[in-house]
Amino acid sequence: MARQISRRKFFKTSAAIGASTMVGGPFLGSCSKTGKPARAAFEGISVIQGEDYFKNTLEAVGQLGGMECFVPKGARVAILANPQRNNPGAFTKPQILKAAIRMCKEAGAREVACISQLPDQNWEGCGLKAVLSEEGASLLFADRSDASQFRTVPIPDGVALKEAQIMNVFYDYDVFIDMPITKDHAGNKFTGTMKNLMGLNSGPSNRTFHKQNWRTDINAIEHLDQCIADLNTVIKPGLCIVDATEFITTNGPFGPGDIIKPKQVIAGTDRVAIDAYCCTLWGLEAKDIIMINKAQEHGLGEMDLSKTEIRKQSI
Amino acid sequence: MKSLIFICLTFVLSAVCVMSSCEKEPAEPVVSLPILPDSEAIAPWKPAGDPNIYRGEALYDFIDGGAEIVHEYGFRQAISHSYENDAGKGINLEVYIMEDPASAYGLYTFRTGKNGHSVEIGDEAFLESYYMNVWKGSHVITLIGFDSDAETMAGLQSIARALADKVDEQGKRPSLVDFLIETGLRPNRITYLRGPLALFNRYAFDTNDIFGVEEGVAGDYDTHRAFILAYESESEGRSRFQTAVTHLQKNPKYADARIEGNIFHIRDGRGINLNIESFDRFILIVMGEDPVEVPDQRVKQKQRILRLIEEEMKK
Repeated sequence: MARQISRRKFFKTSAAIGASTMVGGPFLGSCSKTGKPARAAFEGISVIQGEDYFKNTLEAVGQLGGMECFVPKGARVAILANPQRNNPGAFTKPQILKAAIRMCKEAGAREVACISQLPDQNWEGCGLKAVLSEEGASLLFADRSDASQFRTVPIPDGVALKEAQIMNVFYDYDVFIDMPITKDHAGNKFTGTMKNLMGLNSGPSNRTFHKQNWRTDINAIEHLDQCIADLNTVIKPGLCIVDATEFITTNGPFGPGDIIKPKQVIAGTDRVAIDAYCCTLWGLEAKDIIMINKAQEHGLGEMDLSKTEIRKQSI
Repeated sequence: MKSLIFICLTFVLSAVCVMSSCEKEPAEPVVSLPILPDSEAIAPWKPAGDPNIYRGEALYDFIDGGAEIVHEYGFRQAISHSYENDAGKGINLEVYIMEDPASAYGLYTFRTGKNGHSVEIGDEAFLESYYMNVWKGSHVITLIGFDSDAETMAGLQSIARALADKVDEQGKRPSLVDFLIETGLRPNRITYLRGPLALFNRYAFDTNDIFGVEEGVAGDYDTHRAFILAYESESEGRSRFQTAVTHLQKNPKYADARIEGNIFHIRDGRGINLNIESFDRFILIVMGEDPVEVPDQRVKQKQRILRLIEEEMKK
């Protein structure tokens, strides 16, 4: 069904794309610099459940048509994984990152790099650094204390967030793959593909999302979620691969907390649909997650899972 | 003279070492490293690397994305450290030093899981399958293992005990917690609240902070959940009640709203009945599936609160 777009929205979106092009192309995933637009053979949500998380990842992307649908030959690929802390269920599993890098290389990527603001010790502690070295991928850091390593990106459609401060290094890549672990979050009850993008934004800018003084603003709870949805209007991953294998459902995003083990890897391109699916894994509903509602209002995807095809397989 | 110079140099070097492991925020002196356990007390576990200290906004660097709940409870500073044994097993330690014992108790109740069991360490402690939380005075001690082996679980407890023994302070549960009916209260399912974020995490009443809560308690029972929110005065409680009712009536997630004097009835989209009553300086909320049980429990809970207030006034 064609989506109606207002004249006002058209001009704002055009301005956003124009501004994005000027700062280096944050719509990185949907239209790579190599000129070949990313397009999945299957555009729904791919879910693979099984004990072997490496295989789950291969199959989840395979079900979308394979990594070559997203990574053109010769492309430079940036991956945003979550190495938050080596607490169980709080970080993207090494086997899943390993599979993603391997698929990118096999698809003909010229370079694969993980980009991060979190320190080397996090990557080491989570076992992710070893994977990078085994698979021949690099690890590039932006120093969160150095403002010159971030660029201002206007957010024309932003309701709460009018500009972001995105890592410069992000714009050196042709394809962007978002690789969060889905889990609980004490601020907004859920984290997944959309919240993970805060990993690209500077610490000082992110802190404006997390208002400390909750007692002075009745709307404060919405603020974080609105900012995340706003940020997502100027960065679109070419592919999302979500670790929903073993994760914390309390005390997120850092843990320790109660862990459930759905043993699923989820892949797709519709962030809103993927997050709407992931939150159901521990009994939440998309309509109760403010961020997902805000993203739907922005037209970033479909939160009604009855309107999205979900292909789920156990292996 | 030489020995005096040696002592001075040792002192200066030690101070430099301690300071270099800290986040720099010079407003308050670092006072908490002495609580870290002595090596003899935790053998065969030993420290791995240097401890880190976080104060103020630096907590966001440690708990990237999850610091606001700790701030809501009244955060002063945090210490993180790691331990290892000769078998290569590791344990992560986090110590949160809060504004007062009530703040620490609140954070402890927020962080504690629901599947473990109590152990006799500190003022209260709860051991989960791979981690534990301890409350002692103004301190919350969290220890995280990476497996559930007997060796790891014993290590968690020995380090926790050594730390708790060094905290020369005892806490007492906030008196509001005593208001909860004890019969049927699930062990370790009390959450002491100090703001809207903790309340939102227990139940997302609304995306706005409609209750303006600064102190409250939530308890889970087999048949229902009770919230007692405390305010400065009866008029403030009444005003918050009216604000909440106005928002809840407009919120599409609820149905069947009706008001009877100071009691508001509503049902959410999952069929959970909510009874909300304003009396004295409190708002009492009881929620559950059974439409008969919920008002019955509300009446019983209100009677207990009024009885305890009366007893307190007689003293």
